[in-house]
Order: sequence, then C-alpha cells, then structure tokens
Amino acid sequence: MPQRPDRNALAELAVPLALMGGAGWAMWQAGTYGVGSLRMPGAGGYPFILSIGLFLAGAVLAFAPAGRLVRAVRTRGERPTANEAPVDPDARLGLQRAAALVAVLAGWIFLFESVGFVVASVLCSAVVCLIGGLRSPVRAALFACALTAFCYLLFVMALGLPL
Amino acid sequence: MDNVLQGFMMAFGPEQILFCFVGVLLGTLVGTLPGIGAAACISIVLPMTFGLDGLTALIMLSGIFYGSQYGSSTAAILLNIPGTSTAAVTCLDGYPMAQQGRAGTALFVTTIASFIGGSIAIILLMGISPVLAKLALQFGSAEYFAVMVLGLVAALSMGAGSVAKGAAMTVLGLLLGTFGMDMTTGAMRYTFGFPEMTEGIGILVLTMGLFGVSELLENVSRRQVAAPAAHSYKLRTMLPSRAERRQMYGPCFRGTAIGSLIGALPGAGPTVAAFLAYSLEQKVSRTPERFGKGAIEGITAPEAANNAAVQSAFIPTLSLGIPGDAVMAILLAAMTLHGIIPGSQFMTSEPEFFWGLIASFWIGNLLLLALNLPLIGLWARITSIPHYYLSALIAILILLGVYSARSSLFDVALAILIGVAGWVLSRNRYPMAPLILGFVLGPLLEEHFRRVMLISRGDLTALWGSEVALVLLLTAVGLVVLTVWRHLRRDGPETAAAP
Repeated sequence: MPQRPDRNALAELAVPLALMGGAGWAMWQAGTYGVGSLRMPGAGGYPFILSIGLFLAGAVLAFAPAGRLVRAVRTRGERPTANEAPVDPDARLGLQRAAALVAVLAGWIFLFESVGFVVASVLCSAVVCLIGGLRSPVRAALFACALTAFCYLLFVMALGLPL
Repeated sequence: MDNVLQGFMMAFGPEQILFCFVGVLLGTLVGTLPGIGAAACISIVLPMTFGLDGLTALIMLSGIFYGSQYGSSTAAILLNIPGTSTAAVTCLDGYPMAQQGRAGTALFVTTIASFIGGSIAIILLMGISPVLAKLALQFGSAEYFAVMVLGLVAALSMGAGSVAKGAAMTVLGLLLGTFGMDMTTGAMRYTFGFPEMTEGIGILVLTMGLFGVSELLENVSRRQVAAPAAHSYKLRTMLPSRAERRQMYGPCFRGTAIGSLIGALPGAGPTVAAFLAYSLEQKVSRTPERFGKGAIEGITAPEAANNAAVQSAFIPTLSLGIPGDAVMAILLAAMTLHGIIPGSQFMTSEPEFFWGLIASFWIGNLLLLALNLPLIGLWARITSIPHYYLSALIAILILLGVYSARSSLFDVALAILIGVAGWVLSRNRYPMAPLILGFVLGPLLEEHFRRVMLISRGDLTALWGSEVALVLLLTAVGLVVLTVWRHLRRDGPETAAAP
C-alpha cells in the first residue's frame, strides 16, 4: 500500500508548473521580438512556437499529479499539507548535502574573484571531501592541496590557460 | 584511396596515438567509476583540448566515448552498479557470474565481445558513411529540416520513460538554443541584459551543468558505494572454458548486427541496442531460464551490441552532421568549437580528417584490448576509490574547465544554476539527452525552416515538397502515432503522461 501521494504529487506538479510558467514568460518575450509572418519570419516567431509547445507539454505533464491532488482533497475533505506525508531522513540529509555543495561551488566563484585560484580551490575541494563523507579534516586538506597543485600544473603549466 | 592512406598515416602519428591512448584510458576510467558518465567526462575534458589540433582533440574525445563502453561493464559485474546506462543490462548476468566466482571470466568475455562488436562496426562505418554523405549532397534545407525532425522524434520514441517528459525536454532544449543574438535579424533574445549572453548559452556551460554539476549533486546526496568482493584476475583463471567459448560466438555476432543497425539510427543509441540484443538472446536460447542467473550469452550479446552501436553512431554525425544521442551532440559541438563542420561536405572537403578519425577508432579499440585484459585487476580496484575524493576532483575540474574556456565567472555561475535545474529535473525522471539534442539541433532547425520559408515565400507545403523530405516527415509522423498508441495501450489514457 503506497504512502499518501500528496507530497509526491506536489513535487511532480511543481516541475510542469515551472515549465508552464517559463514557457508563458518566453512566449510573452518572443512577442516583443516580433513574430513576423511565414513569408518573413521575425526573431520571435520560432521561439514563440516553441514556447507554445513547451506550455502544452507542461500542461499534459501537470494533468496526472493535479488529478491525484484533487482526488486526495476530495477523499479527505481537507487541503493536503506537506507535513502530512512521511519524510525520509536519508533523503533530507541528501538534500542538505546537495545544498551545501551548491553553496561551496558558489563560494568558489566569490573566493576566486577575491583571493585567487589557489586559496579558492584548496578550500572548495577540502569542503567537498568533507561533505562527501570524509571524516578527517587533515586528510581533506592534504588531498585538496595535492589536487590544487595538480590542477595548477595541468591548466597553467601544461595547457597554458590563464587562471 | 589516397585520402584513406593519408588519414591512416595522420592517425598513426605519435601525438595522435598518445592522445588516443589518453582518451581510451580516461574513457575506461569513467566507464568503470559509477556516477560519472562519458558525457560529463567529455564536457570536462573539452576545454583542455583547445590547445590541440582538431583531429587530435577529436581522437581523444571519441576515445573517451567508446572507451567508457569498455569500462562500464566492470562496475556492472563487480558491484551490480552500471558505470553507464548501457551497462545496466550487463548487471543482469554479469553480477550473478561474479557471485559464482566467475568475475574474471565475465570481465574477459565482455572485453572480447566489446572488441569484436566495435571492430565490425568500424568496417560498416567506413562503408556506409561515404555513401550517405554523397546522398546528402543532394539535400536542400527542406530535407535537412525533415532529417532533424525525424532525429528528434526518433530520440523521443525510442527513449525510455515518459514520452511527454521527453517531448518537454526536447522543446526546452530547442528553446534554450534560441538564447542570444538572432543571426538573421541581429535581435537579442532572452539575454536578460547580460552581455555574456550575446552568444547564447555555451554548449560547454550547458553540458558541464547538466551532466557534470548535476551528477556531482546526485553523488554527494547519495553517498555510495559498496566495495567489490575480492576475486582472482590472473589470465589463466579468466579464460572461458571451451563450452563457454562456443556459447559466445552466436550472441557476439547477433549483438554486433543489432548494435550496428540501431546505433546508426538517429535517436536510438547503445542502451537501446544492448537491451534489444539481450532480449533477442533470451528468445533464441533453448534454455532461457538461465538468463539472469549468470548466462554467458547474457553479457556477450549486449556488450557486443553497445560497442558496435557507439561506433556506428558516428555515421549520421559525420555524414549528415546530425547527432543521434546526447554524447554525439557534445562531440558535434566539440568539432564545431575546433572549426570542423561535419556533414555532407565534410568527407570531400576534409577527407584526411574523416579517415584519420576512423583509423583512430581501430587504434583505440586495439589499445582498449591491451588496456583491459592485463589490467582488469587494476580497473576492479579502482571501483573502490572513495567517492569523496572523486567528488572533489570532479568539482574542481568542472569549475576550472568552465572558467578557462572564456575566462568568465558568469559562465561558472550559469553552469551551477543549470546543474541545479538539471538535478531537479533528473530526480523527477526528466531525461537530459533530448534536451541536449534539441539544444544542438535547434539553431540549425530554425535556420533551415526560415530558409525554406523565405525561398518559398511563406508556403508551408515547401517543407514536404520533395520526395525525400516527404518520406522523412511521414516516417516522423508514423513514429509519433506509433509511440502515442503504444503508451496509451500500455498505460491507459490517464497515465500516459506520467513517468
């Protein structure tokens, strides 16, 4: 017997709704570029047609999860809330690790700009090791230094790319 | 004939052999390691090839692609985790063989089958590509438009999972391909006011984000992997018995035939070929009950098929300039970045390049044989490298790879953003391959569509005015009808759109 579908349906519905929203915006923007005619297609004509396609695909994809949500509301007589669905602790931890990784990657950009490639890369790779499950900070630091040295040799010395 | 000889001589240069070796070595490595695929690896390595000449760069990048097929069976057999999606079917009988203490034999058999499949497909590639290219010389914009539509539709209909999700991703890819300056009118489209977006989203930024960053996020959020059990990898213990060798011949050649055919079709690819080869072996076997329990035919046919498919996948890419799957789309983009335009003119304008690349496939396959057989024990040990080290390595290579292409931190930020979006989409089972295919084909599709409309003064029927274009478009329509009918019959109307 599956768990209450509310949470899954909400997550499944979010992506098509986002696609539809993006397609709507793209359609509006395409209109401002000039759609033109078949004889003389404008800059916005092709993206306009594609936006309609994306909007329709999103609507088709939203149909099934939206139906499940409506059925869930009808059978229970109340609005579903995310809190009612069971939460997998591993999945939550996974999400936290992924969010931390995104923060580290974004942090690399700021560090690269302010303190340069070496410090940014050592810090970033050490923290990625720790997020990935390495327990020893010393090992993480040593590996990060070795990795940064390798990247410096590869990109700057061997390939001559400016960093 | 002179061109063929010249091409082979170019491929046998010391630099080309060295980078072919590096490519197949990297390919085997990423194929062996679960969690990083050929697409991500090619994207990461691409900026490092900018200092090389076009042929050497392509030899190396192609080597990663077909090398990953060889390596992917290692993790499938030892860990029951496919290194790439094509090796998923190898798990079915490869892992039971490992559990029975026959891991060495399974790895030996997959290497030999891969070599035979790849080698035969190269011969087909040499024969078919020039013929197809000559035919494509007659193509106008309407025919190219029709071929691209067929390619996109075929990718959708043969892909696994929801058709609606695949269609959404294709259209999203086509739409992303319109970002930047419109080449016909000079209008800026979807640049958000950023000057860095004038040229649109770079293929490197997109692939690094979709395959690199998103795979990294998935790996970190899951924290794998089980260490493989200890096995003996001495050559004597790996050799299959006489009875097993006899069981290999038929599946090997049937798998090669299926792989060569499927790989050359736009949109199909090695995964479909491997699964078809497996199900055919099950059907022709007198003892189908052995499948899934360590049948040697169950690993021979799919491995021959997927390696044949990756070689024959070069046929539409090189002769028509139309990629069949995501990795070929990235390779096509790599060629463009190196100033090489594949297509019908490619073989006549740069024959030594074409034949040099083909010759390198032979060299690469021989190198893979030499790399894989004696070093099976090493590849097996590599599967137990802790994932956190790999994650750090991949993260830094992605960041530096994207940055070094244009010295742009904006590109790095964009790749991270695309990676997060790609990860969310992948988690909801939206396929990434149609998105990449749409992104690469999108600008060409628009260009040919506009050209047809301008020449015909807005007459839509000009799109199917020629017999070739009509047949191709009718085939595309037929595929759409067949796919929708198949899904409706399987799922019922209400769930047709569901995953």
